[in-house]
Amino acid sequence: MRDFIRTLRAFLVRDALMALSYRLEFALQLATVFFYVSALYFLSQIIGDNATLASYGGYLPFAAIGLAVANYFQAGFDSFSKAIHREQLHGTLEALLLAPLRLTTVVVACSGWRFLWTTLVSAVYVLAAVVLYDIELKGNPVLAFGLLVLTTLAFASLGVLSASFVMVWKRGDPIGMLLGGVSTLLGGVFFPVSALPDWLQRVAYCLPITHGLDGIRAVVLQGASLRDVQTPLLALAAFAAVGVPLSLVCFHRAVRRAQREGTLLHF
Amino acid sequence: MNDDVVVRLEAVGKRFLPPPAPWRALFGRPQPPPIDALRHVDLEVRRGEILGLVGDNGAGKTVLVKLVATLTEPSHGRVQVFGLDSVHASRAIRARIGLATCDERSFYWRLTARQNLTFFAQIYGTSGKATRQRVDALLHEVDLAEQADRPYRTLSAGNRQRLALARALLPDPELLLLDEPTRSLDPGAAKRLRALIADRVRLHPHCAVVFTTHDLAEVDDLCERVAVLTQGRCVWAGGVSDLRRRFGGDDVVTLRVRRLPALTQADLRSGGSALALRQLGNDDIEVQLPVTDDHGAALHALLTKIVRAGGEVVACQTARRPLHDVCSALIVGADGSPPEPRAQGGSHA
Repeated sequence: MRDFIRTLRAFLVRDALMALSYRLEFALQLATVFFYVSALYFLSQIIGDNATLASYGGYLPFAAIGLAVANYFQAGFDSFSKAIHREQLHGTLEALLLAPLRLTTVVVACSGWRFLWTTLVSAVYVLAAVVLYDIELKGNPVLAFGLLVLTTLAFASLGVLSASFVMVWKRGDPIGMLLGGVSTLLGGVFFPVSALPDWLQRVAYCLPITHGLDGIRAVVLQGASLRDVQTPLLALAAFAAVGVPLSLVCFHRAVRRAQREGTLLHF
Repeated sequence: MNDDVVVRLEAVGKRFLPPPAPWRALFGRPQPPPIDALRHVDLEVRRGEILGLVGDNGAGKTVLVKLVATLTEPSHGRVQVFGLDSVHASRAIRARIGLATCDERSFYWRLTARQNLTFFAQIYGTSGKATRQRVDALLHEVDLAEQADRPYRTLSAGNRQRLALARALLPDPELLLLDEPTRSLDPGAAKRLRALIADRVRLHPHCAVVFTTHDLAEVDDLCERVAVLTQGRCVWAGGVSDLRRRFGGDDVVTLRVRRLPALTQADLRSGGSALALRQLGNDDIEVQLPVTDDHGAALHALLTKIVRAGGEVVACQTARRPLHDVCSALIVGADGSPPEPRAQGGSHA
């Protein structure tokens, strides 16, 4: 564990130094958050009082939490494949794989900065909504955090599967293209899933993002207890329990295949 | 495995298959053939030696290095490093080897040389003060201390190569793999890098080095043993001096002769001896005589003939036949095709 933490720290410092070397981009990314929150505020003014959204405190809290969790979804989903692709582009993947590290450690550590950055951005989303537009947060923060961790693990397993495709086929990852797009559309980021036709609602509940958003919104905006969020909690735990080991096995196989074919550095 | 043997390749082959292209079959176009990068290679590397790995482009040098570094897997045969199988014990092997390639893209261009090296030191298992000390020591060892805080992208090709060497030395490797480390360096920088490598082996006799290059003068300068690869096959693995001895690598006596009558020149040319004559830019000609066990008598007879004919010897020197000539003779057979393997395995032939 100490080795893992030391390695993760090394990757975080490396990525922080590289991010800070692009100062303008760093500042603009943070500024963008305020633009999004402001846009959501004005949208909520147009939408006004909606019976479906009333239990969440209106459209702004609903969408702000949706965006914050969707950020995690996106990070879990594409951070691994993007990290691998970036190392391939830099030409540093072989140098990393030459270090006596577990493959899992390399994959997780490569994505550490992205998750840290996403946490910061998501926190800014929620903070901006609270401070600027006075939305009210309720519920147990530990429960909300637990749900977020499970949601991230479920997303991450899809992300590692996506990275396996990148490792072998370099581009044209079907998981990222299909599941990523479908999840954002049907998962309930910008509108409640109940607004969808029945058959699409059934599809939506096959996606981890829908359960993640349901659970976190229920805790943070409605003050739900552990008993109230049992269904999304169990669904996310099942996604993570099946997805994480399966995706790691796939990734190991993908790397072995790239090693056999001599295409580790190709992109 | 003998403790002295660091690397052993047994009948190793590496075949790269083309990516599947069903549309080619659909349109009746032939599938591209597989590429055999290595074919049945046997080789050993021992502690305390610098093995030069030479061959033309595409001969399989880099593939061989990557196999030993566990970055790719053999299609046939077995690669053992420190007695461990390269496929099943790759992590244990990687902890004990260092690899430096000529690829400038293997570092983070936005970070400084020190930041790059610190990052790699940490993922190699050092932390805190030990990392700083190790990084400082290596930057000093490769003579990069003054450039350490410059971004990698601003370093010269020579300094980038030094940094690659420093990174390869991070784990204090028992096996150092250097893939064309001097490719983009000027002669001075290349010479300094070779001196660094030679020093490393002198000071760490438990360490072995595999050094790939196109420049055979480097092999002459640095290596005791050489493996010659051509079209994926190892056609020689043994001592550099043995290679010279077996494949016409004799030293030659070169004379520069002025005003040698044409008749005498014709006489020397038709003499059927091992003499080689070459017309130089002015009236001078160059005469080469291989150094053999009885070359003294032949040289005496030659000088007598030249002087009696009125020729004037203006220069005389003995030189080693360039290793390049020796290897060229080995790589390309008389009919232009590669010769059959002549010396294989790790024997110190």
